[in-house]
Amino acid sequence: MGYSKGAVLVMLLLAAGLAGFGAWQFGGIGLTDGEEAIEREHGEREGGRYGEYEEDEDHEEYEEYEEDDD
Amino acid sequence: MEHTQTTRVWDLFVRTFHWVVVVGFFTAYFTEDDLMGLHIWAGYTVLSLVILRVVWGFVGSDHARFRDFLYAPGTILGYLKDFVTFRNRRYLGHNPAGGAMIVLLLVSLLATGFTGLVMFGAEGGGGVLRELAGAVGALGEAGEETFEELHEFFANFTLFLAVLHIIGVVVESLVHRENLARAMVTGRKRSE
Repeated sequence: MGYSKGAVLVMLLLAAGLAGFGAWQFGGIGLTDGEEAIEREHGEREGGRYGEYEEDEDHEEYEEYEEDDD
Repeated sequence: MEHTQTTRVWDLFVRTFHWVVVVGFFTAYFTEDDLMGLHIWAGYTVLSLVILRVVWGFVGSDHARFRDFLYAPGTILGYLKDFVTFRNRRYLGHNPAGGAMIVLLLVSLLATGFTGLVMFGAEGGGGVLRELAGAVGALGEAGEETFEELHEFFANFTLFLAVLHIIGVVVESLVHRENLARAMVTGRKRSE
């Protein structure tokens, strides 16, 4: 067919790299996960929207604590 | 009984790539929101295969290589002129219009996949993809919306190209009395 073993090796290595990258970036995502579940999952792991929301909540609690002190 | 001689034209990777991309693209196209996980995995599979196909275009088998099916614009226009009058000549590999279509499809699929990755990074996906979204200015509501529109545009443009591609395959199959869809399954075409 006109291709070498080297070409096949290059393709296999690249395929392995792409599969590894996919597993690293999307590993926690299930096929049946919806948009909300994915956002929540990534927020918890990477500080996305959900993570920011959690930080805001902590901040509010801290302010309440300060008020009680006074 | 007449015996037709055939020759191997499409290698295993080209055939697998073709049909997995067909399934992957339509799966991604028709899933979102409630099945976003499936959308992401189908889209990433297509993007990965397109990257592999581009590399195979340089190191793969004879008819899989870009040099085998990239023609000058004048040759492509001449072929299209013959095509509409059903006088187009037969090519063993991709014809000039088919070759141009493949390049357009690969570029459009790459753009769809790339904008999808950027959107994922911008919407809270982490790691490298968030860095990527930041680098191309997609973080923030305006950036996210721009990339969402680009993603949808390229997905629809790919669908438009796929329809043209199917029309071309049907006409070519009728003109030359050869089932090109089956050739993409078996890998074999008539020698003469």
